[in-house]
Amino acid sequence: MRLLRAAAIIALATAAFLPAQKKPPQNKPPFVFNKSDLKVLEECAALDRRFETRALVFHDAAIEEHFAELTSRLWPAQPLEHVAWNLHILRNPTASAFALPNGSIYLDTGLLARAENDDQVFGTLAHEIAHVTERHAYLYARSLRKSVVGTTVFAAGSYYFTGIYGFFLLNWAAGRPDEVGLMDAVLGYRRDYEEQADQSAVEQMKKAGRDPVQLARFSLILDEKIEPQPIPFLRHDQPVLRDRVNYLKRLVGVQQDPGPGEDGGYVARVKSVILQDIQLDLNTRQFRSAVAGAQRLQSASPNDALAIYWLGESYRSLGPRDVRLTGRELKPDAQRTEYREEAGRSEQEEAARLAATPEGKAALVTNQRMAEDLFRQASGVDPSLAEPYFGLGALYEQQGKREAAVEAYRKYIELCPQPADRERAKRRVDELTRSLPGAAR
Amino acid sequence: MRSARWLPAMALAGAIFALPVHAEWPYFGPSLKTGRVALHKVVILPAQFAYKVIGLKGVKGGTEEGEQIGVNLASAVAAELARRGVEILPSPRDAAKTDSEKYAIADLETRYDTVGLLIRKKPGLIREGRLTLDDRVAGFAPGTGADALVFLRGHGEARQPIGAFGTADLHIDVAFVGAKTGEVLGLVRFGIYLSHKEIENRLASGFREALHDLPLPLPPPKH
Repeated sequence: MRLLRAAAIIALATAAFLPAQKKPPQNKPPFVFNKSDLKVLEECAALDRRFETRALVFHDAAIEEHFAELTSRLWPAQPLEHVAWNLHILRNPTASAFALPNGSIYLDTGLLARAENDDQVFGTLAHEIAHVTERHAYLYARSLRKSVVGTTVFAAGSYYFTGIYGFFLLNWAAGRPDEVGLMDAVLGYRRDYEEQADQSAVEQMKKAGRDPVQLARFSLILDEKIEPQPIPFLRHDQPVLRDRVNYLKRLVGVQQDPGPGEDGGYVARVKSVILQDIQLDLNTRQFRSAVAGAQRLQSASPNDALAIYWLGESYRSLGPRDVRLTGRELKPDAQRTEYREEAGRSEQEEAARLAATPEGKAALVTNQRMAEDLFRQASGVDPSLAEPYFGLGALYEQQGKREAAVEAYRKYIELCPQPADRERAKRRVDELTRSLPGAAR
Repeated sequence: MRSARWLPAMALAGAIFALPVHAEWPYFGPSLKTGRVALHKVVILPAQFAYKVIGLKGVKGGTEEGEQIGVNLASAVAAELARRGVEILPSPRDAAKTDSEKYAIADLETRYDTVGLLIRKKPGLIREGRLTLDDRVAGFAPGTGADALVFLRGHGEARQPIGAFGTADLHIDVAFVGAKTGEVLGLVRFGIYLSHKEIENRLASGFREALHDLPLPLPPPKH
C-alpha cells in the first residue's frame, strides 16, 4: 500500500515537472494575469527603482534622444496590458540586454560598446521587445512555479516516508527559482522562446528597412570571447551562441559568417557610453575588454586626447597579460579555470604572478611601451589634460623610475581640477620622495 | 509508538525554532590592530542587501523588503559606531546631486564587489593586510576627511509562512576600507539564523556584539 502511495506521489510530481507548454500555440488566447503574475509585476517595478537608486542607469540626453528615434517604429502600436515601454542603458560591462515583463528594456554599456552599428542595436531591441509582447517572463515563471509545486509534492511524500530529510528537501526546492523567475529574463530564456524572439526581430528589421544580417553578425561578435568567464555566456538550455549564429544565418538566408557592418557614425554617437564602459571594465578587472573598447574609440577619433589617454590607461592596466586570450585560454573549461584562479588572487598578486613568466614579461614590456607612447601622444594633443600625467606617473612608479614618476605626478597636480584627485597624487609624491636616494630620514 | 519515535526529532526541531542563533566572525588587519589607522570618522556607503521571500510555490519576491533591510542595516551600523565615538560623515547618496557624483558611488561599490569576490573566498587575507581596493578610492570626494569607508553587504531569505514555522536567515558583511589607501582594514561578518520575528532588534544587538572587538575611539560598554 505504501509503495502504491509512493508511486502515486512520484507520478504526480513528475507530471507537475513537465513544462506547461513546449511550443507556443499558433492562435493564442489573450493573456490573463493571475495573482502571481501581478506579484512579478511588482518585483519589476522594485527592480527598476533599485537600478535607478543605485546609479546603475546611464543618462546621456543625446544618446537617449537618438535611441528614442531609433525605437519609435519598433514599439508595438497596440497598447499591452501592464506594459509601459522604457529603454534604459545599464552601467554594466557585460555584453547583454534584457527586458523586464513590465516593458523596461535594459541595454548594457558592454553591449553597446561592442555593437558596430544601429542595425545591430535595433535587432537586439526588437528581440527583447518580442520577449515582452509574447509574455515569456510570465510563462516561464508559471512553469517554474509548477516545477516547485511538483518538488513540494515530492518532498511532502519523502517527508512522509523518510522524516525530517523531506523537510529540508522541501525547503531547498522552494528557494531555488531565483527572483520569481526574473533571473531568466536577464540570463536568457528557453530555446523556443529565444528562437521566437529572433524570428520576430528579423521580421521587424525587414519591416523597418534595417539589415537583418546584422543580427547574425552581432551574435558572432558576442560569441567572441575576450575575457575568462565564470559560466557559459548564456543558460545551457538556450542555443549556445554559435548555434544561434547558425540559426540566424539560416533565418536571414546567408551562408558565410557576415563580415563587419557599416559604422554609419555609430561609435562617434555612443562615445560617452564606450568611455563609461572602459572605466567599468577597468574597475572589474576586464582589461582586455577595456583595450578593445578604447581601440575602437581611438580608431574612430584618432585626435581625441581623452580616447588616446584611455587606450594608454587600458594598456597600462593590462600589464603582463596578452591583448587577446590565447588558444588554450579560449577553451570553455580553461576559461572557467582561469576565471577561478584570477578570482582567487588579488589584482596585484595576479599581476606579479603573470609578470614572473617569460610570456608575461614580454607582454608587460610591450604594453608599458604602448601606454607610455599613448600618454605622451594624448598630452601632445591636449596639453591641458591632466589624466595622461597621472598615467605616466603610475607607469614610471611600476617601472621603478621614481624621479620620473614624481615629475609626472607634479605636472598632474598642477593641471588637475579635482581636489580629491590632487590629494591622491600628492600622497604618492610624498611616498616616492621619502624613498628617493638622499631623502631626509 | 509512532508518535514516540518522532518525539526526539520534534523536540530538537522545536528547540531550534525557539532559539534563533547568531554568530560573528571578525577579521581585523594589521593597520587597525597596531593603531596605524584609527577610525574617528567614517563614511557609510548605502547597504546592498539581496533578500528573497520564499513560499511553498517558490520565490515570491523580496526586492522591496531587501531595500528596507538594507536601510535598517545602515542605521544599525551607524548607531553602533556613533555609540562607540565614531563620527559618521554625511551619506554620499544624499549628497550626490549630479549623475557623475552618483556614478562615483556606484563605481566605488563595483570596485569593492570586484575585491569582494576575494574577500568572500579568503577573508583571512585581511588579517595579513593583503587586500586592497588601491588608492583610487582616495578620489572619492565624499570620503575626503574620512578615515574609512564602510561597505555593507548582505543576503538573506525568509521562508513563509512567517510565524510558528516560518524562519528568516540573514548573512551580513561590514567591511572597513581605508579612505586614503584603499586597504581593507577589517571585516565583521555575522549571521542571524532561524529567526522568525524582530529581525531589526536582532540586527542591532547582533552588531553590538559583532563590533565588540573592533578598535574604536570608545571601548565597548561593559554589560
